[in-house]
Amino acid sequence: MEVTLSSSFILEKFISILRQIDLSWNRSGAWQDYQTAMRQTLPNLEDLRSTDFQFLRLALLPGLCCEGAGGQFEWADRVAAAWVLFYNSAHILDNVEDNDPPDPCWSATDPGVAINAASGLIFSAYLCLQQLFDNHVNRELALRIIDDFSNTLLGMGSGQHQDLREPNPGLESWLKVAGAKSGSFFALACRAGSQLATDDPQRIQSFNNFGYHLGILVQLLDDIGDFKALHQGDTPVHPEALNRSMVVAYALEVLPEEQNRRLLDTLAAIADDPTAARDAIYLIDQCGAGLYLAIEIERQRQSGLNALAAAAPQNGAGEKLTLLMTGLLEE
Amino acid sequence: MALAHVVYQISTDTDFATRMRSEPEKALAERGWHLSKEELSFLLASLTKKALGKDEILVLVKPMLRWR
Repeated sequence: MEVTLSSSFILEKFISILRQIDLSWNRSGAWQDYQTAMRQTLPNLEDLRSTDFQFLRLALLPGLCCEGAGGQFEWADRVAAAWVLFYNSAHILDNVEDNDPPDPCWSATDPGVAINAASGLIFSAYLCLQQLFDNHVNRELALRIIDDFSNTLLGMGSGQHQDLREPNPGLESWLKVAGAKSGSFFALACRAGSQLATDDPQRIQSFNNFGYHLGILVQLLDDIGDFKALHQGDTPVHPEALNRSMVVAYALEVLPEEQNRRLLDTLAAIADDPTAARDAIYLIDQCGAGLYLAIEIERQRQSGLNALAAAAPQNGAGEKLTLLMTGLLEE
Repeated sequence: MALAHVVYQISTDTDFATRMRSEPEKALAERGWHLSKEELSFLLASLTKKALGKDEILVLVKPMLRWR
């Protein structure tokens, strides 16, 4: 039987995750207006765009890993709800800290309101995790998962700290930061989900590794997406974001000094000079950045799929997780 | 990060690129470069994409996620 990740399946599962979030808000002291502000940062299910669907698919990671480890998808709803809330919070904070163009999820408001909503998402996420004590999860495991979230988030904060302080990372530094931020966060989704169904450390580690490579892959694609947006001229892109991408990290690592300077000057001129984007992309293509990125994408994809195979997923979850990863790359 | 320098050389030196397609180990050894088996395997697989003109940064993938 062919396994698919249909829109209806994704929506059904995401609505179930949203229910957990609503439950935590209903029990909380958050005023209705504040709840609305936080809710507005999440995808609007009445008006989904293709990018939102990609986000919804990623939110299924804890449930699919739980199912793959022998449990039921729904066992991970609370973990998934917390993960989604942390994801959105980190995204908003990152967006403001990097001084990027406001993301549509908060562009209708101002940065102060957005930061306040992002803070609320963090507390809401912990409320969702606290609910682990209410269901079948034993106390020791619940505490371990909450501890794991806290430690992983502190690691992500450390990666963001380095990212903010290093305007032009080298390739090694790029991988370190991407691993600390995106890699470890996706690994957490898979690790926590699988832990709800198995205590086999090797399988948990394999699910973790799958998530880690998926996270790096997501970051790579995000970096390339910035250049695509730059080329199409339909999105204002800040040179700081491009400078911190793997594309530029590669170019600066291999280009001779004179071209290095030219690339940095060109990127700095993007906001004022309409030809600068074209020049930057020309320089980048000439030095083989596309080939290098293609190799890195393939390496992360293959390593992720190898880790997934080692996890020996059950219940058809392996096929769905494979689709989730390969679906990021194929039209 | 030897892989990055090998990729740069392939992209800027036609003779080296040709040799990498026919005798990759020798071409690397002549330059004093070493790649792991895994790196070499991914590089050679991706060279096909380059030959087909599918290695430009803008055609690599669809834009998709809002995550950093």
